[in-house]
Amino acid sequence: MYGLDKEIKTWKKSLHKNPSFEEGYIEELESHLRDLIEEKIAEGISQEEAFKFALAKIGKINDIGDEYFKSDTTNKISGRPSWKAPKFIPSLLYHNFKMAYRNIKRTAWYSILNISGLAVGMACAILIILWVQSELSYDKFHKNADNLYRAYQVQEYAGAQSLITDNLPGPLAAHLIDQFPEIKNAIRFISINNKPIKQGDKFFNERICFTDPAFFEMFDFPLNRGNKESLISKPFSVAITEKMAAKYFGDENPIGKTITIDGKHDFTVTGILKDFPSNSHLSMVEILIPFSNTNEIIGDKFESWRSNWPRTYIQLKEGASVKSFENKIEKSLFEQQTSKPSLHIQPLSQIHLYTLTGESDFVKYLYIVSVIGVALLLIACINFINLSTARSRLRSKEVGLRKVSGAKRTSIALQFFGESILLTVFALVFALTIIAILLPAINNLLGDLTGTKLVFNFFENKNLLFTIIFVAIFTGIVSGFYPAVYLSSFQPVQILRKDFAGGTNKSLFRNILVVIQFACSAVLIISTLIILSQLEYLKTSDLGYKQNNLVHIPLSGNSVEKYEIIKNEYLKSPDILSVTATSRLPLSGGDSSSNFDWEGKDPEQQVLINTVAVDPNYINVMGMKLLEGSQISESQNSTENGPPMDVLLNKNAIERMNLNTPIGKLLTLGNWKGRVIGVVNDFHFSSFHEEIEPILIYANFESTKYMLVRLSENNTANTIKHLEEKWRKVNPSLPFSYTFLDDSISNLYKTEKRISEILKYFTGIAIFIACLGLLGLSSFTSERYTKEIGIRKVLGSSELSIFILLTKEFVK
Amino acid sequence: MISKNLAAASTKPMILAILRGGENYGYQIIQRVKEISGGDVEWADGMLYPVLHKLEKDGFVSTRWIISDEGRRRKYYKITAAGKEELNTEIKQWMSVHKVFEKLWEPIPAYQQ
Repeated sequence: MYGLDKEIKTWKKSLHKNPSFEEGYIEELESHLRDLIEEKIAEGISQEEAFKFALAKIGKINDIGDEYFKSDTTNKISGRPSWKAPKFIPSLLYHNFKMAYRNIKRTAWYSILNISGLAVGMACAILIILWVQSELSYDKFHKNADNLYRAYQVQEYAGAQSLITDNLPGPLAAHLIDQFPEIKNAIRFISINNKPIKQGDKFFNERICFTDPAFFEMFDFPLNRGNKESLISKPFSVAITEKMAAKYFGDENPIGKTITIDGKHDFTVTGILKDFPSNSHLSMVEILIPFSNTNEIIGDKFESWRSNWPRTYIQLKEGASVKSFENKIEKSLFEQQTSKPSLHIQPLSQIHLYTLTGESDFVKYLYIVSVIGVALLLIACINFINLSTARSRLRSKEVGLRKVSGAKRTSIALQFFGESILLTVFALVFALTIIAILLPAINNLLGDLTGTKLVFNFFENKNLLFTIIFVAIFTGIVSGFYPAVYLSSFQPVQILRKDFAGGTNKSLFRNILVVIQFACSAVLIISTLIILSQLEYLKTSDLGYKQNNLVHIPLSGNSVEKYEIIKNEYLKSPDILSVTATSRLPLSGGDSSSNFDWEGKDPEQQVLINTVAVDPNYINVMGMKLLEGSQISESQNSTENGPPMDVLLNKNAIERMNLNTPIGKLLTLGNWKGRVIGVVNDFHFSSFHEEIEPILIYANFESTKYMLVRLSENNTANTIKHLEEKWRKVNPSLPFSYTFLDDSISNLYKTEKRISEILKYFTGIAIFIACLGLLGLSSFTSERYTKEIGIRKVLGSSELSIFILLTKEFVK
Repeated sequence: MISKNLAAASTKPMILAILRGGENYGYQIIQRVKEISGGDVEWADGMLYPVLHKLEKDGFVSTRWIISDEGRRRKYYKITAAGKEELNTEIKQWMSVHKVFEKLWEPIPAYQQ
């Protein structure tokens, strides 16, 4: 059966949508329509056909509406009926904003709660988005960024031991250019820290970097002065950053002047570079000299295939296939080194966030922090939703009256939505103020974490505006949508009845939201606690040596030669307990070789052994434990025909090398010979992130790079001063710099530390916002109970029982 | 069929003239027009109502709702004194136009047909 009445109803609904039709007009048209249909049915046509015919006969609804509109027009000038707002202003917008403003003013306390919660949430969200954006922007500003790669090698050893490193043989870059037509450019790059630089009467330890001139063709680091082509093309030329220029030359023009490295090599300044942008993994570069000068400064020309140190950066030609190139170069190192390493490349833009193998804890942290940002904003929005719906009873009469006077649901919804938007705008202003105030502190924190700097300037950071608008719109919609829909759903009849209790019947939904809020906060608290306890573990666990009160001082050039003198000077002081030297600090990687041979070695089995050169008393000064055998008694040099050097191995090395009776075993590496005289217990010589690896300790202070000084616990500040005075006396031309080893170690975990700090802040903020919400809800409840409390008090109830009554709902 | 412009101009006097013959409602007014013109003058039915609305606003017709025998509510239109006056003015105008056409079109054979 054809539903004629239903069809007519639908048709009527479509008429209602046109604001030109009033109730009477529609009824008249309906009556006409029905007459038409009846006439047709009387002619013997089906209901459906008759309806269709009648519709066509009546004509286009909108045209009829327009005619009505014209005849209702009273304003001859604007041509619109008096009840219609001008076309360029959505109807009642102005009015609604006035209402919203009055409402915010009238309920100042709740508005403040709402605004501050939203503001804090928005500030966090904006900051987090900016942060994530800036982390993702690393190394993408180079014109060639998509074609730039860093090469790395993977060396596999027995027992699942492997070494993945971007330290590569020096000749590799030239070899690759020669062999592979896909390559446009390839350069070598070395960065070393703590090189003494002298200019006039200023001297400091600085980081210097060596590279090939093509560096400036591949990377876009802008120049302040000088000429890109001739920057570091000649030996003994140097390019420095503006910061360095100001540090060493002040206001003078440094071009053509010289700086002295290691107290003996003069380099002529050929160009001033703009300070490297913070969103580059090369941002540490400040002094750049030609790669050919490694011979003078490091004492190695890097012409051997058998040693790995420089990084190799590669620029592929436009359109070259990366996949096939990767396959082709994989075996490039195969022939050259006995460990048969494979060669790979990593895109430049991944260097900042990912390790060489493509893993990244940091990206995980970024995800976590992003989720936290969204969670914070949601918590703030939930507050808003809760308060608005809880207080809806107070607005319900307004809604009822509006509906009675003919307001449509959409216009009421829009009104409440508009109020939310207005509050959001207030909150946004507040949020931007918070950001502006906190930015220096945040940049400090992030700068320490990843070197990232947030730019809060609309002109420098084009993303900022979009970010802010996005966050504002998101907040406005999320927080305003539900209250608008909910409040506009009230039926006038129900509202205007005396016993209407809007806002209480939906408390289940509100309770769910509150539970979600506190679940978010709880998750944050728990994850913070977990990370904190991990950090605590890192701090307190046994490293295998005593890390406290140990100072390391870099040795270089003359200071190596004068090591014995200064050591004896230092030992005269009662607060300096002992002094030793080492070629590497227990912080990061260093020399290693897989070419060692020993009696009973399985020829198939390569073991990668780290080597460290030390002053003989190293084991004692570090507080390491000797498991068997004896210590090294004197510093030795390896000579071709001389006796083997005394060496110590760690437990891990003994196990990996399958040495059952290690003492007295002979080890050889080319011409070098060493005899094992003792075994030390395993100790961490790099971060906890790395596993313990085999290590070989030999005594040769000429190869050492750091002096290690064990101080007594008292008077550290004075002792440091004493260290510096004596240093100046012995090495007047070399800068003195020192670091406490435990500081350097905790620096290894600074990502964890900073992330945990950031998490701590966010957790605090989340709890703060959630509590703001609870505060709002509870003060609203107590407001509702005012009368009840009054009556109870009059009847003699104690304050305690009222307290219990009020808190009951929240403790749940 | 007559053109849209002509329909727009002639609707008002036609309605008023029909209503001069007695109180009536929209559907019947349309029927009457159809009847008299033999189907040559026909509007989109819905378009009648805005015109009636305008006539009411201008005070040429008065209206009331009547429930018919079948129980349908119908809006009845009745011409007012002002409406009758307006109709007379209209008639005068149309007649003067009519006279001009009569003279002009006499010798045209197409009209004879």
